[in-house]
Amino acid sequence: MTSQPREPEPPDDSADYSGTPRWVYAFAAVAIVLILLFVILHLTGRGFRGHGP
Amino acid sequence: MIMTPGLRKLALTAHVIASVGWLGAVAAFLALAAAGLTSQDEQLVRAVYQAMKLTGSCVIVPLSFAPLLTGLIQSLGTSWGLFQHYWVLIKLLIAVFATVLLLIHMQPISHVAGVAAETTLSSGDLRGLRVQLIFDAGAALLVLLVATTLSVCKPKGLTRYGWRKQRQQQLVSRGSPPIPTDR
Repeated sequence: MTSQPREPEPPDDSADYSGTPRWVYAFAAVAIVLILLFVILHLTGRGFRGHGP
Repeated sequence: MIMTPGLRKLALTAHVIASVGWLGAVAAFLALAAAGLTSQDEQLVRAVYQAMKLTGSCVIVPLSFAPLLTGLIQSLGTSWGLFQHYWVLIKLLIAVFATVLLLIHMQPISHVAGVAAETTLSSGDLRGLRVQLIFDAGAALLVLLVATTLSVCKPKGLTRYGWRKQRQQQLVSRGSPPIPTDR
């Protein structure tokens, strides 16, 4: 994709790690739900009648 | 290992071409899958599934490896790093996940194309597999759009490893001793 047009910004000067950003948790939650949905649909065959060669 | 500006531009250009090409090829694949399921024209349906098999094996599969490779070169050859920023790490996971799923799903594509070449597919034949092709192409398109958005927006967020690494570099540049890495 269109990556790296600029350098990463330096981190804050604070001594402690600020933790995982909230957007990563939100992203992970949505991804897990979608992956589970994808796996369940494939395993149960719902929506894919006649699944498999 | 930091690349020179010229090399970096070359790698970035290759990465953008491969990634956008992959996205476009998947969009075309989705259109073909929809046409294959909905068309009443037997010749068109036969041609569509042959085109899908060809596009999948000759365009989409090679294009799925290219962004992964060029992305690795980009991240390891620049100060972004591979495991330092969450958006880079998530893009890596997306690329690996999408490539593995694509390789797994090449078998149903070949099967439908083989049946379509030998017989005339009616609207009910292999309907489950044909619907699956649309579903998978749509899911792949969505995932690639997310990856593109991450690349453009580059949301802030350092991993713990990235924070430690950058902190070390800051301290080294100021002349202070680096903090231990096993914290």
